Amino acid sequence: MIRNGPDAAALLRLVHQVLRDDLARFVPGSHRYELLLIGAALEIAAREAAAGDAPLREAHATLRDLLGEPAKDPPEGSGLIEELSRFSSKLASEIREGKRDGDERTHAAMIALSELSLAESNPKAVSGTDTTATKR
Amino acid sequence: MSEGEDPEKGDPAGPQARAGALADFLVKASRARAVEIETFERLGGGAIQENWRLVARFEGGSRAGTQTLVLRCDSASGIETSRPRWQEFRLLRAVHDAGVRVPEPLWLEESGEILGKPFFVMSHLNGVAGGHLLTKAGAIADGDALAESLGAQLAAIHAIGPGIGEVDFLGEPPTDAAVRDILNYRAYLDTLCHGYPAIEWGLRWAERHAPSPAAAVLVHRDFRTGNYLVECGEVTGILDWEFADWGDPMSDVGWFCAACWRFGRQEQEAGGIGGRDAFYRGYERNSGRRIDPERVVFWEVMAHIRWAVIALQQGGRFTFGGQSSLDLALVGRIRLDELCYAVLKMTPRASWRSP
Repeated sequence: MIRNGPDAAALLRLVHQVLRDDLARFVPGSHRYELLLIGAALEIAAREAAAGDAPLREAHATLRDLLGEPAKDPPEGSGLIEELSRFSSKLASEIREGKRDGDERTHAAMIALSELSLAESNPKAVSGTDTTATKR
Repeated sequence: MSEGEDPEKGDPAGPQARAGALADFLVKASRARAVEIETFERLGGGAIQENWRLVARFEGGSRAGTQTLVLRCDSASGIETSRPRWQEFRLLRAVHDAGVRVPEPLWLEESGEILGKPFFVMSHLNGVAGGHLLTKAGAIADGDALAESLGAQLAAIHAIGPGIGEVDFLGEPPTDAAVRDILNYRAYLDTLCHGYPAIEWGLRWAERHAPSPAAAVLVHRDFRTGNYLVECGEVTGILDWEFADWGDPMSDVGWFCAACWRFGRQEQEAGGIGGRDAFYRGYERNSGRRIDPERVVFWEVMAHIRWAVIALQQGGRFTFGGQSSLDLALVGRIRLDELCYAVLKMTPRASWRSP
């Protein structure tokens, strides 16, 4: 099968645009909040569709290196999710056990992972203000 | 952690579907000759509880005349840490008696026979609670005055200590509220299908940097912009007592000032509405306590961790709890990511003390 364009990401962006530019004015003020939520959900879905598995593979590589796991290509499909889940649990356990206390490399890797997630869910949050606990 | 929707739990149409039975309840509770409920209106907010404004005409009894009241009951589902209505009612009575500005608690219906779920009725207070409305530039003429007055209200809450009969269901106060919270959050994380390294990082930081335990007082545990009413720049009432417990008084200060509760107005460090100094001033003048900024920093990190755990729970209500709510789904997706990022940004290597 050949998929004709537009692809899923483009369709979702188009739906959001029609909603925002053409339909929003017909939505009563009492439902404005729901409209904002729908817009946010469509934006996430569009970003996710455009990125495909690339962020998950990047997260996999970051965690694999941090945990000292054997360097090999990540599995495909659900195997990738399962391995990411296993890596996350292993890192979480090591942190709780105090094996990573204040470790700069661990912190930098988690910041990178967090920014990967936010790139899909809310890219604006990454450019936010510094809220370091030592800065007050 | 979350409960699924329970069709037995109440009528989705709301309490107006049981207007007759509710009017009968109000007759008995107020000793009126008759009560006619003229209007029902669902109030905004409340993912965990529902609030309905009722306008009712009482013939005789303790509230004779036309009264505007608020009926509070469970929404379709709650979270485990949310207190039942009878406990919230008694908490409200205790703080009302202590002079905290809250709606006057009037009548409690515990059996569930009228609405299919317990509820209580309280007086209606005027004012705006919406966080996004109150933090809008120009919404409050004197934000520092409001912050100072909120500090005074928090001091009045913290004047309540263990030993008050009305809230004996709270049990023994914790010897160390920070340790209690850390253990509770870890216990919840252990129920999930995979680990959350950023939250664990925050919890480990908290474990390593917890301040010495403070004498426990009554803490609101959700004292923030969005949970108080403001009219003409004045606080008219502190709302939503469903999480109140014994705890470290600075946990409420940290929750109020935490960056995640400023609704985007980061420069207004007291809840997005005023200056931190003004809030501290109102608190210190009325409590006789000095605020230790280091303790507050600790509790602000804990505030982000706690909100992250709540976001996980709320996302779980969508993913596993069968609640088709876009709001819950996006809290689990967007808010959780933001909070994990904030926890990490607050706890870099430089913020870790040597063992």
